[in-house]
Amino acid sequence: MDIENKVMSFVPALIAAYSIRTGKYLYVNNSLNKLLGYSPGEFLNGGMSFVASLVHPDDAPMIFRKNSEALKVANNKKFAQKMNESFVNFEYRMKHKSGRWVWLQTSGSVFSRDKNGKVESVLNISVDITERKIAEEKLKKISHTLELQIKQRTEQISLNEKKFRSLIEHSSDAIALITKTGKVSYVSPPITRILGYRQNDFLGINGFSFVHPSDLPRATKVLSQLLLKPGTSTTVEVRVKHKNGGWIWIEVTGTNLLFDPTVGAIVANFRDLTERKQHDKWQELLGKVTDKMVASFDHSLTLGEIAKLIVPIMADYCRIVTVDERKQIQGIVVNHNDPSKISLTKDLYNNYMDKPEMTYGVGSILKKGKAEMISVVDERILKTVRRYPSIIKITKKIGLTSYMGVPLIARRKIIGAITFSSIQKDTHYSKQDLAFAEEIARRIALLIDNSRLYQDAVREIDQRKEIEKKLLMRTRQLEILSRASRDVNKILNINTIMRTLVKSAIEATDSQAGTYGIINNEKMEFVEYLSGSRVKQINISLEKGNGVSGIVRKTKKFYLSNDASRDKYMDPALQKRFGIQNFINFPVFGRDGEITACFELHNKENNEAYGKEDIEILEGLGASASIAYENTQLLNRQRELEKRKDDFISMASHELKTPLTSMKAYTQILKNRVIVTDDNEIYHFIRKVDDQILKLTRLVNELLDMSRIGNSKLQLNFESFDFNELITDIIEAMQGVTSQHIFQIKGKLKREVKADRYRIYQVITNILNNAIKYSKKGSKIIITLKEDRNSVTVGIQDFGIGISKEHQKYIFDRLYQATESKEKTYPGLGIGLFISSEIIRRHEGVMWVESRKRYGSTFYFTLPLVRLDMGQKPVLN
Amino acid sequence: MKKILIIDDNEDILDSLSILLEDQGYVISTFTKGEDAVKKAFVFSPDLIILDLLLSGKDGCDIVKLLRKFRTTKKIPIIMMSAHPSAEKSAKNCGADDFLAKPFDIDELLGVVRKYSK
Repeated sequence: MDIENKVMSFVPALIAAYSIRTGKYLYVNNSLNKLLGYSPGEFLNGGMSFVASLVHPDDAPMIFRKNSEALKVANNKKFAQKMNESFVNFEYRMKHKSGRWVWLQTSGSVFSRDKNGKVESVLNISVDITERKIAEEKLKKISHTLELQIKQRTEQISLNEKKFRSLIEHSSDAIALITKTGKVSYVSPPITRILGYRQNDFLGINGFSFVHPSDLPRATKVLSQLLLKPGTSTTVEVRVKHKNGGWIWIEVTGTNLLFDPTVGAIVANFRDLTERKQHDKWQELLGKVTDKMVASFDHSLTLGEIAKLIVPIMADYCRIVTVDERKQIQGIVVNHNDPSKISLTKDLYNNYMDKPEMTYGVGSILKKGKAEMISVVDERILKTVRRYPSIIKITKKIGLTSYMGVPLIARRKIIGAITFSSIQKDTHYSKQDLAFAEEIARRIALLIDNSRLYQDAVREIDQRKEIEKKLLMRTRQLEILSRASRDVNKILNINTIMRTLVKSAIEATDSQAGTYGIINNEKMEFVEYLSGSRVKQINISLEKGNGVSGIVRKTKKFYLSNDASRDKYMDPALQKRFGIQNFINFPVFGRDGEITACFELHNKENNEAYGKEDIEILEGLGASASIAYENTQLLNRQRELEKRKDDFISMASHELKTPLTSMKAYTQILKNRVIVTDDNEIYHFIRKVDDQILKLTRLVNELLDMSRIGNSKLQLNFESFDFNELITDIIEAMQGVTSQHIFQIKGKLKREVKADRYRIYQVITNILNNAIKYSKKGSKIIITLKEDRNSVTVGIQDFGIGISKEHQKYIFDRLYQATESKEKTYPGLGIGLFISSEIIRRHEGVMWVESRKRYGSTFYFTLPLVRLDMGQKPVLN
Repeated sequence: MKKILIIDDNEDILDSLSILLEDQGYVISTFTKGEDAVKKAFVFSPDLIILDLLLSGKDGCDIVKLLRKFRTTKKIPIIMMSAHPSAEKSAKNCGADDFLAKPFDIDELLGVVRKYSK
């Protein structure tokens, strides 16, 4: 191989020439082997088509196009001058014999031209750029990924930036970026709200120029300290000049981020303390409202105070409207900062805002029960009420800039509404403010509700107190009534009864005076006039039919008048005399239904009129009077009867005793005469007569005694006497009367008895007589004497017919006789035991009987004994 | 002989009592009217006066008081009698020396007469 071939073989490029006309390869160097694994012969034989088939399908179209274009250019006369310059360059893949793809870079140049100057053959020089290509590809991929990441990152940052910006711009605090020298490089929009300046006003300015001179040293110190400590924060409160010239308290929080490459400044946060202070004021207001809520129950007063508190802290005009259950306006409380505007504002509200058809205002609040707010009163809002041009006019005149209204709701009921109106130009109500207003409204509503509940309770209590008072009054009246009734039942004098009742009536009806009249001989006689505590004797007698009592007698009903001077029945003379202004006359009825008396009451206290309650009281008293009156009549009659009876008995017994006296005397005379003549028979009969006279005398005495006992006129003469002696005397006398009975005495008294000897004699005689009367001849009668500490018990026992248990109950009663008539041997009046028991009773002793039918009876009685002092000997031996 | 003056408006009592007492040996003078009796008392000079508390319409007490006024009659013992049981006290108050309750036992009467006519 010569040098040329050697060089050709070593050249790392594939050199090939092919004819465009034939499509056949004219020459291919040996590097083909290295590059594609084929031998040159394969290419030579295969030709263009073969080679073309080795090209990667994706690259083929590009090669074909490029080649075509290149050829066109090469065939151009202009280019023809520049021979041997490569006219096409492309990179493509070819399949290696082994099957793998190989990147080739081929540059083609014109090899030969034909006589016409058209390209005849091309020389391609190709280099294996596979490695480079692979590397390129890798790089591309990396680059792509990197690009993607960068894109994402960028987006994120952009978003965050947006957020941040938004945050800053919408924050209530203002944020500024300050350089280490204090110059402001950026400030966020809220600064306008806080300090009134526009953002641009600040830029590049030294922030300290706005700080209050007094606060400047402190601020400067803080800044220098901050500069020394990167990454730290510090807070300082300073006064900053507002655009309008006033000083605003600002809380500045600065963070040193100078070192941070992304920030490179001090981040300062500005918070308007005024606003906070304003909110503090509002909070304070809330507290005060709550206090008022707790302290007072009279909400009308308190609401006024609250409205005064609200203006000017929360509004320039505040209106609180309360409604009742039917949504009717109950009360309105207003307060205005500027008194000159009050009438205007009132106008606006009264004529427009209260109406329910209005979109805004108390009317709509009450209807919807929802809070509402017009944060900024601008032209747009005013347009909505263009139907009412006057509203627009007034609103503008007032200078209303902001408004909020909240319903007052308690226990789920709408009880009113509260509206806040502001004329401040640079502040408007915000959602926050509305929330606050709702909070206040809640408290106010509670206050009103509590107050109403309290008032209801108070009213109920008052009502109950009224009822209690009435009850008390009634009770008192009833007490007076019952006391009066009780009192008069004891009284027997009709005048006293009536006087007592009139007194009670005066008290019960709160009258000043009163009188009573009693019918006597058809006339109504007024004897007494009661006024205050005085009882005046008057003697006024009215004919039947005259005066007030006349009409009462006629109608049998009460009569009252609350204007005595004009009354047709009231006698003018009497009216004047007693100063009667109003009166009531009430009748008292007797048992027969006829009027027997009347009450009249004058001048009810406190100029009150006589009414239903008075009538009821008087009815009660009238009834008591009727009964009491009846009682007196009955009692008097009864007394009279008794007196007559007793008088009769007294007289009768006296009359009886007179002849008895002479009878006794005559029989004695007879006895004396007969003794002289010694005629036993006559004497015997005279004695019989004498006995009868004796009995008659005894009966008359008993009768007399009974009548006197009835009159309680029985007189006892107490003396101390020997009881034993009395007994023996009596038995002696008895034995004389009846020889058919045997008397026995058991027991003997050591002391004397203190009693009316004669009466006790009577008692014992009476009992013995009964004993004799009711026992057989020859039976025993035993008298026992038992001495106790202070008394003696005397027992007289007979063995006669006895007294049944039934009769024992009644034997001591007046006029009671226990026995059947055929048993009687000595009929008596049956009053003996009554008198005896009365006598014993008057001696403070007791009398009783123990008896069994058919076995006999024992009568007992006790008498007081003379007291024995210590050491004294018994009186009797 | 002892003299007794009896004053009572009942004639039977006057009659029976005078017989009884005459039987006992007394000299009796009787009157139904008090004034007459008083007149007689001056003349009669009784040793004892028995009178009823109640004389027709007039009070026996007045008679007693009258008798007690005059020297001649003031020392004469007076016995009052009456059908009224409560008369005893009145009798004593009037100035009587003793009292008899009608109708009295004759023995009682005699006892009292004997006592005061001594």
